[in-house]
Amino acid sequence: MRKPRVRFVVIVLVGLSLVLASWACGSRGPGSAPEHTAPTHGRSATPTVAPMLTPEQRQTSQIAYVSSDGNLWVIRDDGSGVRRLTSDGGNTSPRWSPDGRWIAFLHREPASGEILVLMNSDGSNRTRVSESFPGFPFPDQSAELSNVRWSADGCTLYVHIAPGPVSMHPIHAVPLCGGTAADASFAHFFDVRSDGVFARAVAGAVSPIG
Amino acid sequence: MNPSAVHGAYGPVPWSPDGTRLALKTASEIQILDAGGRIISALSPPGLDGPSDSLDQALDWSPDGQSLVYETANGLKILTVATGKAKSLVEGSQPDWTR
Repeated sequence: MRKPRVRFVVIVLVGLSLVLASWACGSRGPGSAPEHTAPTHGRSATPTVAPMLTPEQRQTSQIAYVSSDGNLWVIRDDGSGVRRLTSDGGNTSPRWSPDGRWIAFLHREPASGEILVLMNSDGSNRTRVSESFPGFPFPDQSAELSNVRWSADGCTLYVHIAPGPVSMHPIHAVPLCGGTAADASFAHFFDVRSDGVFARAVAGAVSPIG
Repeated sequence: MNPSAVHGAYGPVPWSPDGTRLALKTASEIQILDAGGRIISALSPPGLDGPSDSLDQALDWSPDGQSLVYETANGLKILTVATGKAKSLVEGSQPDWTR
């Protein structure tokens, strides 16, 4: 009769030890899940340390690209998940929106020249931006569009237009959340940081400017 | 801010996701610049020995800022910035990685 009682006491003591050890370590202890800095994905107002991808983000991380027949595809960085998004050809410059829900790209049509297009990331709901926003200086068959970029809040699309109106810079800002398209800056190759700072390649030099 | 000391460069200049670095492709290198446009490293992965008109081929950062996808005459490659090693991904051009 004594052995079962001793065994019970030992089990209780071991259990209490585990509970106390867990309490002493707290939520940040070595046995708990590590805390991750929330990924910024270019959305923060100021530069931060390099974000870490969560497993979910690593799973959803995708690369959009153009095939030799002018169609848009997506693929994961490990080569899996290949999907075709368009089948009409003539598509270039795919660019993911900051939240990954949209892809902006350029499409060349024989009748109207090159146009700026938005679609869902699964290829549905194509919208012709060029004809949807007042102030956008298109369509114009002679114009060439390139280098599509998003603002960090997803409310502005920047695109390089050449040749554009003489009085305007070649980079145009298209306000997707309301407003009128306007010229933004100059350069052929550029990118826009989350805080609005442009990086431009001009005349063989790179210059970040506000 | 003054232009960088990068001369002869003319191509895409994507910001890293954290906004502290820029990437730039030259005829033979992928250069990593700081936010002021100064070169902090130069990598020579395979596929960058094409003609000068290939300078406008696209490149883009991975969401964690540790890799770059870049375009070559033989398709897309992924470069690990810390090691300088690259692997082939798929035939295609104009890559853009989710933010």
